[in-house]
This record gives sequence, structure tokens and C-alpha cells, in this order.
Amino acid sequence: MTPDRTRDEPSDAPNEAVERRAKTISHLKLSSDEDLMEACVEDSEEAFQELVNRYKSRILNIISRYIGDRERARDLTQEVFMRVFIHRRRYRRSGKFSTWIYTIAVNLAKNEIRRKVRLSKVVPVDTVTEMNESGTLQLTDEGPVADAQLATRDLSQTVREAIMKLPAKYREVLILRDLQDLSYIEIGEILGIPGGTVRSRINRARLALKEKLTPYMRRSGYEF
Amino acid sequence: MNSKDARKLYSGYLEGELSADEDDELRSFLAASPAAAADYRQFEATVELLRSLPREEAADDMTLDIMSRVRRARARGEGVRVGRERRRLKQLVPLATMLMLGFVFAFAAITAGGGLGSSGDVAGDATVTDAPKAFAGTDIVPEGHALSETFEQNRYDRPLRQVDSGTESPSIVF
Repeated sequence: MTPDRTRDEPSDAPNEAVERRAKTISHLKLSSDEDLMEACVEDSEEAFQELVNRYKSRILNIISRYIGDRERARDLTQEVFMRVFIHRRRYRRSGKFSTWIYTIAVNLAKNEIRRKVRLSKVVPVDTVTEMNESGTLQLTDEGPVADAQLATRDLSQTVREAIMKLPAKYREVLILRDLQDLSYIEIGEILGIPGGTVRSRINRARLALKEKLTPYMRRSGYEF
Repeated sequence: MNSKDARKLYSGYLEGELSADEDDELRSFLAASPAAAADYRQFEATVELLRSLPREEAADDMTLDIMSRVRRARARGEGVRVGRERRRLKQLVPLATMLMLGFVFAFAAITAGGGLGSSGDVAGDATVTDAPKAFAGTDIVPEGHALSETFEQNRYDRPLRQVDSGTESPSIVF
């Protein structure tokens, strides 16, 4: 016969709940993206939150570099995850989750560019120079810095602006390859283009960027 | 090899994806041309600069905002399983509508033609049955059949004469 628990003895229930939650969280962190997505289909909020934590910075980077507007990129990043949630039952495990979410992000970024073109009445989609002069990425810290750091900051800013001036088809492959480290195969799946086209576009994008940046790099102290 | 051909191989050379022959050919070309070598170094430095750009980190509150939006969407029923059922229902509505219209038309056709066999429209002991086609246009009631005590339209749209149940012999009227 087990003794009755007295009022003075602490209940184990809250500690057990904490332990269970800790185990769940550690299990989630070890789970693959695809396993987490399966759990999301079964309406696991924790699994979805883990996916958000894993991908929010990557998605923000892609969209921000693509459209050159950090504030708007934040809104679109949230929109990407809302679409993942709402359409989660459409996800097929045969494909990588990263490919799926990056595809959503790139499509939203493209739509945003088209929207800006319509609003600004600039005809060519690739002519983004004027539109982005007011929407280019702002560095978070505008305080006084040493000259060397200022030069670096200017160069980084110049690189970002040069990326924005590339035609969209070159910009997107550059962002996915050199800023997101995606493979050629995955880039091809996201953009719906063959691997050979991915390679040639990346090469041309890099060459175009080189032409724009070499003068600035020389001024910044680079020697070739 | 010329400069234009060499530039096409820069990315492959940088990432170690050229074939052995292409690699040797480009390496020899760069070694033989200082201008080309400088051009390739600019290319390499550009890619390194690109890759060294600081990555933006999304703020912690972005996760909170997203989860809040998800919970609100769930409360509104967005992305909930019933949504799928609603879609299925929407797909079934046109089919159901067509079936209903089919039944309505069939029913109308049947009742307009007098029915498949007149249903038991019974008044007392009398029942109305279809007059055989041989008696079309006449008021003859076939032997063995009785009429209801009320006037009714036969299926040929001619009024039937009222007959007492069994007391009056039917007569032929032309």
C-alpha cells in the first residue's frame, strides 16, 4: 500500500513536464528538416517553430539580397513561413525541404520585384538601379568607425549595390551559390533550369560583378 | 586558347570542376599571359569578397511574430485539415447539382407522361390504372379495371368519366 502524498511533499508533475519538454526540444534539434516537416503536417507547433529558427536567417538573406530592401524582406520572410504552414500538406518528402522553402522565397522575391516595377512604372524588370537607390541595404550600426573599417564598410555596401545592378537571372544564381552555398543541383531545382545553365550563369554573373567591382577593390587596397 | 575562352572556364577552375585537359590548358594559358593571370586574380578576389559578405541574422522576435501569425491563422481555420474537406465538398457540389437536376427532369418527364404505372392513387376500393394503348382516345375503361370516384386526367389528357364502383356499366363514347 503506497503512502499518501502529504501536502508538504513537492509534486513531481511540473518537473516531469519540464523534463519531457527538454527531451522534446533536444529531439527536435536532432531531427532532419524532412522529419520536422512531417511533424508539422501532424500539426506539431514545436516542429514548425524549430524549422522557423533554422531557416529564418537564410530566407531573410536570400530575399534581402534579391530585392535590396531589408524592411520589406522581413515581411516577405514571414510570408514565406506562413505559406509553408498553410500549404504544409502539399509538401512531399521525396524532395528536400530546403529546396521547397527556397523556391517559395525566390518566387516571392521575384513577385516583389514585379510589384515594384508596376508601382514605379519602370518598364524593364532588370532595370533595378533607380528603384533600389532608396531601398538598398542599410548597415545596422551607423556610429563612427576607424578608416580601415569605413573603407571595408563602403566596399561591402558597394558590393551589395553592384549585386542589385545585375540582371535578375544573374543575381539570383549568385545569391544562391555564393551567399547561400547551395549546390548547382539544388539551384537548378529551385529555379527550374538545367545544371549547365546554372553553371554558365554563375560564371557570367561573377565576371559581370568583377567588372563592376575591380576599380573599388583597387581603391580599397586590393592588389592583383 | 584566347582570353574569351579562358574566362568561360574561370568558375570551373576556381571550384575544381574542370577536366584534367581543361585544367592544364587554362593553367598554361594563365602562366603564359600576365594580363590573363591578373584578370583571373581579380575574378578570384571578387568571388572571395562576395562570399565574405556578412550574413544577416534574423532577430529572435521574428520567430515570435511568425508563431503568433500561425496561431491566428489556425484560429481562423486556415491550413486546418477541414479546409481540405471543404475543398472536396466544393468539388462535389457541381456533381450533386447535376444529379439533382437529372432527378428533377426525370421526375418531370415521368409525371408529364402519366407515370410509369400510376401509383396507388386510391379512393375507396377503386384504383386507377393505365389504360392500354389500344384504348387511346376513348373513354372505355378496360375490363377488370375500375375507376376512382373522382374525376382525373388519364394519361392521354382526357377526363375520365365518373363511375360508381361496380354499379354502372361503362359505355363506349366516341
